[in-house]
This record gives sequence, structure tokens and C-alpha cells, in this order.
Amino acid sequence: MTILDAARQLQSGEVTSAALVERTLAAIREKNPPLNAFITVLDGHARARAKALDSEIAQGKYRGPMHGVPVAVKDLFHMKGVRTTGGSKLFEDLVSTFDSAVVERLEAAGAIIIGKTNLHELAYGITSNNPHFGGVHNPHKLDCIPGGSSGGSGAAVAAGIVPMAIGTDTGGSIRIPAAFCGTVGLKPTFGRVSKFGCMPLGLSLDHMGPLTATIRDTAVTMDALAGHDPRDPNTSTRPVESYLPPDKPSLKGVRIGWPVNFYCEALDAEVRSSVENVRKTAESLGATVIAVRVPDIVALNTISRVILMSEASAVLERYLTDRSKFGADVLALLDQGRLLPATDYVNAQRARRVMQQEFGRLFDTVDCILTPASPIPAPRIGQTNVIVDGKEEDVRLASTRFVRGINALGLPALALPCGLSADGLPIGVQIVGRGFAEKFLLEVGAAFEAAIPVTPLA
Amino acid sequence: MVSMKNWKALAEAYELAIPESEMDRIAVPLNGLEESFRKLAAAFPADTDSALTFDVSPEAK
Repeated sequence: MTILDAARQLQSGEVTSAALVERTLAAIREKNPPLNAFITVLDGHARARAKALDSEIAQGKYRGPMHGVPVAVKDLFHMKGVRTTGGSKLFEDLVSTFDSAVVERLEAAGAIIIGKTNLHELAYGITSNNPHFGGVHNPHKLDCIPGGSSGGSGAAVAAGIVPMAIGTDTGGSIRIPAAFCGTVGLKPTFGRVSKFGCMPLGLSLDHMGPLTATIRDTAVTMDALAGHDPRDPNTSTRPVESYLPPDKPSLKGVRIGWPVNFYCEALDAEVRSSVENVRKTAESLGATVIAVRVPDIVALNTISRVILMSEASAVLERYLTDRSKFGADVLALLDQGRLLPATDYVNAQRARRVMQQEFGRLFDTVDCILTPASPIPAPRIGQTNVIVDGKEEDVRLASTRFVRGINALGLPALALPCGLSADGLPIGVQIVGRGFAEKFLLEVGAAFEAAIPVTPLA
Repeated sequence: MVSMKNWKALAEAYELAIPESEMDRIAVPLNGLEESFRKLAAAFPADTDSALTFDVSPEAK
């Protein structure tokens, strides 16, 4: 059930929030064991919230479409009185003393946080094969990864346990699980959603956003999340618009950039044909598809890696006194970051500005660019290398190749399902827009969602 | 061709307690990153400012 379906039923009295909570808890009991998508389930909290929110509806106090709807958040967000592990042994017993901005805003909108989802350790990786809380499995194929780092959020939504789960995206960590699990995932513009109270990783790269089954559910979640927060100095004071797309979304007059370099290279054949199908659909819906050459994404990815490794090591270095508390892959990345000189970090931030300017010019001629979200469908759990177009590539580098650089640009990027592989694994497309163009991206996404059969939930 | 750094010596100089076996593992990706990044760092205009800005307006906290 989507957020908007639940909202209709709650408003009409067909269902109560208490009943939705019980249904969701039953779904967690039934579906979660093979997925391991949740670290903490908040049954008591959810039941108490549902009772209060049902009472509000009975009194005619309706907060909006998230009122009384059970959702989940990645276990990286502080929530008062609830354990926040960050997927790390370091914080396995940490009980938060305050709410993150995301939790505050969801609860103010009436959502019920029913659980906290599993993730790649410290959100620093893309497999969600967590050494401390167990790996997350892809609901479409249990021996495959769900992607990460927001893998539990992707799996929980794709399995139909919750209609929305919050993720974070520092180098693709919302869009990769969205692509691998067949959900919608939005990385908003940097500064659109407050980072306050979310455990940091890449200070200038971290973004917060939703994973949902539908574009409209992403829109109503963004309505709740977006806005200025004085506790996060990066948040924008730009006014927030309603993100809900029109009933009949249109692509007429939209100029879609179709990269003829980088994003069309080293692609799985099924990914290529699914994304080509999106391009043809765009044309059939009245969009103008314009061939574009994108700036040097290899350079952009390199810049992003230098920034991320430097920032993550700066944030987490204080905990490295006990190396036994880290998984091997995260430890290796943290060690690498500590060996990069400060001059590299500063120069990466300078090169980042140059890339921002180059991408800005690209958006003079198109309104958005359309790319695959990932060059491959979900790899198997434990797989370290993948053959793409006959060339062997590291799974982490392949999975992040099309998404990582967008974090350095801070631009909004929407991932949505566009097909299934012969193995039954979802394939995702990515739409990247100008800064603060989330509403536009969601209308484009809604047009595709209506025209292209949606990947069935697992 | 960029000459590769002696990562082990750097780690020792920084007094980072990274075991030798792990040094061997991280040297390969660091060398790759170093080679790509060194070229980039030399390519942009010398007067380029950082993408990170510092806000001194009274309302900034």
C-alpha cells in the first residue's frame, strides 16, 4: 500500500492507523527474517503513536497525507530514546537523546516511525553487507545485494513492508539501492533537507531523502522534509514548493539531455536496452531528446572520492583507536583517507567548483539529463568484481560510477525503475536536474512511471 | 607517469597505527587515486576558489 492509498483509507475511515501499524508489524515478522532490513523495530512506540494519531483524526485534526502512516528511517538518524547504531559496533548501545530534523519533520507530518533500517556500516559502502548486524538481502533475489548504503531502506520498501523509508546518499547510497531493489529514490539538492541529527560521513556530500514505491509518495515525503533548518547551516532559505506532480504529468517541451559519452559506455546489455526504452518513451511523450557530451565524469568521480575519503576519515578518525570495531572494507577506506594530504582535499574542493561551472553550462541547453542509475543490476552478495561489456571492474566502483559525481555537484537526482533483467533483477534510470528542480524531476518521473510498466515489488 | 608515494613511510611519519598487511592492501587503490588526481590538480586555473564557502553574515551560525 502506498502512502497516498493509506491516506485515502485513513481519511475515509476504512482503516485506522492502529490497524496499519499492526499490519506493518505483521509484515516485518513475516518478510524481514530473510531480508534483515531492520536493525530496530519500534512496536511500542508505533502503537502508542497510532493511538494518538487515530484520536486526532477522530477529532477532525488531520495533518496531511502522512498522518498515521507507518514508515522507516535508516539507522543513521537520531531519534530520542531509541538506539542509533549507524550500522556500527561503535554505537551498538548508543541511545539517542534528541531527534534528528528528519525524524522531527516526519513526526510533525503525522508519520509513524515503525523501525530503523539496516545499512552498510557507517553508511560507508554500497553492499549493505554489514559485519555487525548481518547483511541485507535483495527482496527480488535473496543471494544478491540490495545496494547501499541505504540497503535496508530499499529492501523494506521493495518488499512492501513500508511505503517509504528514509535513506542517505553520499556517493549514491539512495539511488543505488533504489536501482537494485526497484524503488524510487530521490537524492534532493544539497541543502534542501536538513542533515541535523544524522550521523555524518562526507560533510559536504551527505544528502537525505526518501525511497518509495511511487513518485507521488516521494513527493509527499519531500513536502514533509524540505525546508530551512538553522541547525544545519547548509540548508537553503529558498521557499519550499509542493512537490506533488499533476494528475497528468507532461513531458511536452521538456529538453532531456542524452549523454553520448561516459554514461553509455561499459554498460550491461539489459541496462542499455531498458534505458534506451526510457529515451524512446520520452520522445513518444513529447520531450525533445538532445544528444549531449557531459563534462569529464571520471575526473568528477575522482574529485568526489578524494573529498569523501578526506571528510569521512576526519569525521571518524577519533574512533580508530579501536580498530577491532570496524569492518575490513570501512577500515581500509578510513586508512586511505588519513593518508591523503590536506592539499589534495583543498584542491579537490577547487576542482569541484570548476566541475560545477561546467555542469551549469550543460543545463543551459537541457532541462535534465537521463542516464542509467547503475551500469549493472544487483551483484551477488560477496561478489567483488563484475564483468561489464567484457571488462572486469570492482563492484563498488561499477555501482557508484554513474551516481557518485552528482553528490559533488549537489544537484538533485531521481532514480526510478525502468525494467527487469532476465534474472528478475530491477534496472533503474537516473534523471539529474538543476539545483532545487525536485518538483520538475518528480513530474518527469511521474510521466515515465505512468508510461513504463513499473517493476513489481518483490 | 606520476611517481608513487611511499605510503608506509607516510603512515609511520603520521604515527598512524596501520598494520603492514593492511598497508599492502590500501596502497593499490591509493596509487590509482593519486595518479588520477595529480593530473587533475595541475589542470584547473590557479586562481580557482574552493567550492566550500565561509559565511560571515550575522544570521549564519
